[in-house]
Amino acid sequence: MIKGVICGKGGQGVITLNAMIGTLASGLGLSAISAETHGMAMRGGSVATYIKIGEGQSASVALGDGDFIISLTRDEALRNLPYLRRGGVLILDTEDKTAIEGDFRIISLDATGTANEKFGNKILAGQILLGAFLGCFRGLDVDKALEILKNAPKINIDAVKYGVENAQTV
Amino acid sequence: MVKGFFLGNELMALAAYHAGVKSAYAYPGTPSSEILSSFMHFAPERYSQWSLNEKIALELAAGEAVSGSYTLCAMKMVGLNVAADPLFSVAYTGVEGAMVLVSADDPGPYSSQTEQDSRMYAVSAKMPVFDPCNPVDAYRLTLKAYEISARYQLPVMVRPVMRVCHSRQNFSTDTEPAPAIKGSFIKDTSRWAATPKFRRMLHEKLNRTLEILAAENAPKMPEKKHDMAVIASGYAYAMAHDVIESLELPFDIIKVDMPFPLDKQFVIEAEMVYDKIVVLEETFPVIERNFTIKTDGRLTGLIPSEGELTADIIENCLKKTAGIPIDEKTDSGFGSPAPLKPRLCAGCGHRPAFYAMKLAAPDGIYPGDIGCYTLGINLNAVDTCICMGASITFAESMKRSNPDKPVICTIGDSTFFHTGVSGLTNAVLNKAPIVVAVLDNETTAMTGFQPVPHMSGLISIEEACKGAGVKNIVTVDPYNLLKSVNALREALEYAHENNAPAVVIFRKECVTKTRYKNKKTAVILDNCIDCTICYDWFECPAISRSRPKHMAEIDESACVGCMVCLQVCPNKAIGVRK
Repeated sequence: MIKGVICGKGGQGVITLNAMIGTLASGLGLSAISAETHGMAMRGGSVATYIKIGEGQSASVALGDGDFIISLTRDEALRNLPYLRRGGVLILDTEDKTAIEGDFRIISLDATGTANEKFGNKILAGQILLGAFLGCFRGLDVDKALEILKNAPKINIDAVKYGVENAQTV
Repeated sequence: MVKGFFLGNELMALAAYHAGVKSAYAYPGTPSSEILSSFMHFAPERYSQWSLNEKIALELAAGEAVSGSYTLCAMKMVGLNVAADPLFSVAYTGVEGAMVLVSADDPGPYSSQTEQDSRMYAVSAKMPVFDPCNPVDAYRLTLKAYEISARYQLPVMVRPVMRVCHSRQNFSTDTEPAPAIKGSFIKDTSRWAATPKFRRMLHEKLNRTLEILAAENAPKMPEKKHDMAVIASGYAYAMAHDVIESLELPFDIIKVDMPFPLDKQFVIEAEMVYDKIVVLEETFPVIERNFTIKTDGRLTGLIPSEGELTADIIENCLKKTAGIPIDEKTDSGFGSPAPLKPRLCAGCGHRPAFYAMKLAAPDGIYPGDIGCYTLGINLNAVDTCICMGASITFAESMKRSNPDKPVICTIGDSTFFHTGVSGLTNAVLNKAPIVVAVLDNETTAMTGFQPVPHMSGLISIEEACKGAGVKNIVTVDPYNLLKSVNALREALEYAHENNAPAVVIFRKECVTKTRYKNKKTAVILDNCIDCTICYDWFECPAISRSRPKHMAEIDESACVGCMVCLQVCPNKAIGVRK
């Protein structure tokens, strides 16, 4: 089982990224369950989703038990860090990792900036982070995931591939 | 074939469609809002309606179900307060077809005024209630609710918590939807128009039915492996299941699908079989109150009586009960930044309306209401927030207690039609010298842009105010700050001189819905003296303080170019970047 937290601030695409990961996990034949926050919390406030892939009746992740955190801002990463277990991985959409250190792996990549410069649309940051996530876990079959995505626009797939490569090289 | 990664709300709508629902009614409210929009998505050919409020939605769903049809009604739990009157009555009369009421709870709370438990309504109205633990379970139990409703001719409640509504889970089914089940009304005054004498008989019949129903749907006792058991329902069950399994805690776990009515034999058996029982449920001790011995939960103080249950709370409570030491989980030693608070969007028309209120009546009292514009609290322009529609009634009565203060209340367009109109009529009848600011963004924004009555073209807010007896009604564009302030000042003068409410309608369509983006943005000029007004008092999220420059700073990617800050700046230090 892989479990973790996806976080950022309202409007950044946290919920979309969560749905992409869950849908892809379903496509890979894995069970997936996630929990989101909507409504008042979405008007620029802190947003976090919890997701379990593989098994589980509930999506809730206990403190110190998350295998990963994907954060779209540095501050939200800091806020949610207590959920990360020792040896877990933090995927961060910023190269600024000031004051973030500990017994876990950090993949920090400026996904939004790269999406804008390399792929011409910052919306594709989500695909890059999805790629980075796929690249982190042996339990997830990257080739099969790309096969599932084959009908997506090429630029989206390229963004995912970029994320996969950067997850591995860091 | 349906296959995907679905929200709990989507799967409850799908189950209603599969069960043969003919018509669905709802008023939006987090966390329930996606239920009706999903029903519209799955079943575009069937009838669905965003009703004006929850009382209306419930009565409409009941009226069709009394006529033998299958109906769905959805709302959030505070909406059930509004719908409580028909709820209690329809529980007695029952229905002829089938009716399921989904009332979504919000432990936490995340987007609500209270942490109330809809199941308490089910208990006091004597209505069977199902408590699903996750989206897939919500599909199963909604189908079951229709089966029970049809079989016993009773309205049935499904009570998901936010974590069920807004969890996603993969789900697939080959089930084909049942055709829409439609009946026709058969007159029976002793049932549908029951006088008190008949009401007593209906009550008696209901009590008998509930006993049979409870026995027939009693929770299943598991094969006994441990001396202790967790009895749980809803999302608390799902979390307890995962915690017990992953930590191998010494508890048998019993799932309660239907917390009310709960079979008495089941309770006695569980108390006999186990040495210790922990009851886990949200948010009130509904199941727990059936147990008298050997039981721990909220009533004994094991479980906190407020806030959302989490996997960590459940883990600690179960370890404590089992006598297993609890390891202190320390966070990773970093200072945790404060959570970002939600704010009105950059360019939101509500912001200048609130700002104009502060300029027109700096010493005013500002009763507020429920919606995005509750965030006017960030501008110190919302002094009270009680429930849907209470801004106007609070304005009337607060003016009576504070006659020397100008009172301007704010109410959104959807809330105005929900329960605002009756309060406004009351203010007219009782000569309340108040100003009612209707913040009209032409949508129900907070809950996901559901339609509002006046966009139908069949009625306008102005006409509704006129019909309520208001004589002074002005409509302004809040992007024009000077006109907005003057409109409010004149409205206050009118109200005080005539002892009558005046209405100012601030009309600006929601910038988030329309994705409004002016090609030009605002820019801070060199003569900025960092007076703090634009980012602190006007509170625009696109503006912040640049510490090194000792100036304000505009994030051009966040600025939508409403240009109101140009009117707010006292030093003419904001210009237009073309």
